[in-house]
Amino acid sequence: MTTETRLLNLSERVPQAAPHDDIDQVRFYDLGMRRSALMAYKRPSDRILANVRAGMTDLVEVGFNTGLLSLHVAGKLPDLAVSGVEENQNLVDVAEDNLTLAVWANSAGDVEFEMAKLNRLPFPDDSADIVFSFSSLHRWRRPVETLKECARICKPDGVVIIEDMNRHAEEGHITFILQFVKEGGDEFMRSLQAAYTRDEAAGLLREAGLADWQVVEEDLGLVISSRPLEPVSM
Amino acid sequence: MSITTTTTSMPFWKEYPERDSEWVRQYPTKHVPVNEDEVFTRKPMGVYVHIPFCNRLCFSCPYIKHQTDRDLTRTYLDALKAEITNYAERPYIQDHVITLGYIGGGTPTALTAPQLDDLLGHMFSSFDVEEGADFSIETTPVDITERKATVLLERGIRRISLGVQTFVPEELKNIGRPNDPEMLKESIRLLRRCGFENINIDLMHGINGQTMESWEHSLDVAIDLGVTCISFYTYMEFAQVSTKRRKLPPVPEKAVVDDMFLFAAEKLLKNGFLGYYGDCFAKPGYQPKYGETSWSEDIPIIPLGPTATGHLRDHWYFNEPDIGRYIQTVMEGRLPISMGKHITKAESIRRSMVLGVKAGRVDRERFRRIHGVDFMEMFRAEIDDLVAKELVTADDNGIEVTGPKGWYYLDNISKAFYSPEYRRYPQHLGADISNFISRQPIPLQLTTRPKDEEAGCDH
Repeated sequence: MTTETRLLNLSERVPQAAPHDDIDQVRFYDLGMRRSALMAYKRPSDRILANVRAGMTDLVEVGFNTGLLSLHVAGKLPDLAVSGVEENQNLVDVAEDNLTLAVWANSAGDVEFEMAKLNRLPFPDDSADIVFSFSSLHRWRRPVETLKECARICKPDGVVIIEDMNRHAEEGHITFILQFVKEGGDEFMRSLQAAYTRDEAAGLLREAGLADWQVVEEDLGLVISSRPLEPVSM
Repeated sequence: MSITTTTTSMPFWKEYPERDSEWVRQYPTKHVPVNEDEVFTRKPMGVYVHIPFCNRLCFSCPYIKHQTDRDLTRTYLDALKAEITNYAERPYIQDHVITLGYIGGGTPTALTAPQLDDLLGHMFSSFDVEEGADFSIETTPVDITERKATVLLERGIRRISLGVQTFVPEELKNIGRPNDPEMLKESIRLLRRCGFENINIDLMHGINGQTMESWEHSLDVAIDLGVTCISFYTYMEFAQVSTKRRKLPPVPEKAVVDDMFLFAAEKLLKNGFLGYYGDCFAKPGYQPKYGETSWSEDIPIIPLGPTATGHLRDHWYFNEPDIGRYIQTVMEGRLPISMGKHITKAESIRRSMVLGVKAGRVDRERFRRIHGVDFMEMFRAEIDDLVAKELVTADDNGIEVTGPKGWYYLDNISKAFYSPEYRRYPQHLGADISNFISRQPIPLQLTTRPKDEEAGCDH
């Protein structure tokens, strides 16, 4: 009997019907991320910073959640403009609160957050040096269109870096994270159920006409990029 | 000359196609004298007691603990005693005698002397505790007093472990501890004056601002103080400790921390200590028996208190981590068991290898006595590989972890004996994730909780 135990079903993707539809829960989520899950941002942040080159001017985050990664990256890169786009009003509201606090605290970053549909990004063609996204892909309503938009706004010599969870990550790794998130376990598992597998992500890229992009499985996550990236250590 | 041996003609043993007519009704054969004492000998058992309180919460400590609070502490102790009573009334427990115990935390001596006396009195009178049972307790230099030490000794606690961490004032400050080394030394002298002979101290390497020289200083002080056991741990800086915000110097580079481990191992060996568990060094005769005995001899452990981990009736398990739910469950008359795993016979053998090597050595005869198998044959491939890597040595008596290389890689060695099913799964961290585990062979759909209970984060 005990050998038959397993994590709840992650075989098929279960999209979230209405993610982040309660502002209080979004605030709770934001607080949880700031309190205990900032470590999760370290590697995405390091990966973005590792791809910054002289002469870059603009970074765009697609689906900024509550803005924590954009604020962190912008603080590290005060000479670059970081623009975030999100299509969920509650997330935008909480991110604006975080931005207000960052401005009040004289944070060096140049950040702006904007509400817009992720399948119609409000930026010109070839305008961003780095287009990045973290823990958002699983919520995208029209992922193929958004991927195309990421490619459209990225400069020819720029890079797109999209990180999200891998629904088929190793079960041991999932149980490890579950033990850390504690009260956030339900939300974490719902997000994971909505996340893509490596093959599904590759399928999205093919459908978007981006078959030359990369999909790498890395611990709990997937890293999608418009060109091969150097690994980032923990 | 022709010599022939026939084995087919015994009245009780026929070889096919001859029909055997001995009615088989018992096994094994080759019976020997057995007496009442042997049949009804009560087997050894251990107990782990968790006291999740501290009088002072250190910012560098990531473990779940509570600030000592008069009302909560009192309620908790009532629950803990109820849990002890619940176990003690079970026939399975009554078939055992308690031979070892460990009282950890938190800070067990955050309790007052009367509270410690009351708790230990209840436990020792509820269970059948062997005369001279090996009981160990954790404390801090700040929380131990002569009165508490006297209570502990009178109740039969013989080994005491102090969380000293370092004897360097600046390093103590950097991890949020009282920073007077003299006070630390005096607490050790106090314990000795009170009558404790077996004193362990915990030291940490890898602390903000620590250097090899300062690490050696802490080791020298510990050796000079004459403690019988020194355990050292690698300090891990957690997210809640902002080095920058607290204006702390950086932690040493990993290579330096590794060198500190090897340096300490060598120094302690030269000073007459013997190695256990890789990072625990004790004078001969003072080795920490709780871990060594429970792991090497497969002794069951009763877990008491929230997050406490035990091993009973072919299961290992840990208790409900939330102190409120723990108290409620226990006061309702139930055991607060949270999560764990059934241990099959095959996994029980592996478990004795996985944990046995953590004690530094696995004895072939003892293993055969407990499990009836020769682990040297059963795990020949794994052992050959570990020997080739110079992580263990093997002879007719068993295997022994090499020092210091094997001690450094002790958990790698341990995991070499995991069965394929359990490889790349983490140790439990004391969190209850049962909501997300299905016990059915057919996967269940995730059930959404009511909105007002929802909360959380993506990662």
